[in-house]
Amino acid sequence: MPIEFLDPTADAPSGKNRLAPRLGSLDSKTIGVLSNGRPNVDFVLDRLTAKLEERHHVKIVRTMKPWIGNIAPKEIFDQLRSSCDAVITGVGD
Amino acid sequence: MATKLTSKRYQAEDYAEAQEVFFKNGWSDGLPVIPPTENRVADFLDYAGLAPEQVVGEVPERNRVLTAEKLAINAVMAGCLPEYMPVLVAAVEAITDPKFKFNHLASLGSPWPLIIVNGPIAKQIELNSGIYLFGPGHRPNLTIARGISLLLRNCAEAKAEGIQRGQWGNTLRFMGCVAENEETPWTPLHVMLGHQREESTVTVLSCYPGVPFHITCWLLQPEHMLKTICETLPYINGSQWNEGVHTLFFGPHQVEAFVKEGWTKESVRQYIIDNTKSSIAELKRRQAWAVQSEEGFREELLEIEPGDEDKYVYLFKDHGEYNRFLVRLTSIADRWIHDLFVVVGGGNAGQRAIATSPYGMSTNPVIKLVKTKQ
Repeated sequence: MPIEFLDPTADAPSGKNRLAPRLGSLDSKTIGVLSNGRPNVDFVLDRLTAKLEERHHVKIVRTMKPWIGNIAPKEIFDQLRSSCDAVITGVGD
Repeated sequence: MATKLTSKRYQAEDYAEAQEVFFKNGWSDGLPVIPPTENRVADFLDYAGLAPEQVVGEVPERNRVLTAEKLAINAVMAGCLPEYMPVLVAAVEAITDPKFKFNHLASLGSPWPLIIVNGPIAKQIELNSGIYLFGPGHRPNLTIARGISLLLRNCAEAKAEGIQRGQWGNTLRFMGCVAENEETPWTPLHVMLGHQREESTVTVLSCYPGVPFHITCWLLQPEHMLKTICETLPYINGSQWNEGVHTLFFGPHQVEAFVKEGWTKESVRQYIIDNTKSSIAELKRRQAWAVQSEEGFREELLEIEPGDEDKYVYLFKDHGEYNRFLVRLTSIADRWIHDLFVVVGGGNAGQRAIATSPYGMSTNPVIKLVKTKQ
């Protein structure tokens, strides 16, 4: 017997999140880095930021979430938004 | 009540084919579901007096809104009855309360909320508070837990294919809804948390996997039970020193033994808070004591030194000068909540109390009122 049923999923509302305009170049820009605080993350970020400084003469603003399991507090986002041209963040261990 | 549902519709030739649609699209948790037809979903919304578009909870960090319609759809899928809807709504309100800090559910440690129901609603919907409490056999216990799990899977990315990085997973997603046995002289949990006995509430608190964790107390004697628990509780999560809100469940026969000697739930709770401790030597033996990096991870485990056997750290109190060996330093200011919830439940024979291990630093318990038809 045919059945009709409803979709159980919900997506994020479309249109709310948009990509920020891309930087034409990284040269001499201020790049924010938000560490998630996992072990060894500094190993990756130290090398990444060193390369960016070497190649593009960027200024680095380094921040870290106070606790791994939670979103970074508003103050950190405000700091990054107000002082940086771009931000690097990620998930990893 | 005329109910207009806006979710997309799918068709299948029959029940079996409908199951394959759910499995193929990743909408199932691995078990068959009840197909959420319009009539079934409408029944849930009508029972609770909710409009389909009513927002039950928001998860801003995932840019998601959880509506009554989506909750009802996933509750139907789980096998719930319409009369469970008020409890489901309260559970979603609690889990999406900012104090619960939803996003921590993505963590490597596989946290998941334990849902504890108090008040008259528990008996009204026949939610089990007794024998085999954390096992299968009672429809409301399993389907309410499953309904919440499916909702968060399908509408908030709480799945391994989404934003869920849990190493081992958590069976509370199926078994994590229980009622408290309120037939003993002990004060029910919701009353201890400030509510009236006649109110119905849902309390959620995030737990590491392994629930229920048994604490075997061979003798049905208060002193023996308390000493056993105080010695055991610090170590139910291996070499991780637990911070946050623990729960302890006692069976009614254990409560009776306490009551005979004048112990109330309040005095039992206070005794455990005051006396649960570990020596530094034992913490070092269990690999829980270390020098920490700036990020708060263990860089160097420390050897036992003379005098360590006689120095203690208390599980439910500020560790003072010992903080820097046990907990992440940057987290202290903002989340120093230690508490113990004591709950009555389970069978009325047996030698085990039950504990849960808190996902302490990342979350707080939340209690919400269960509201009947709105």
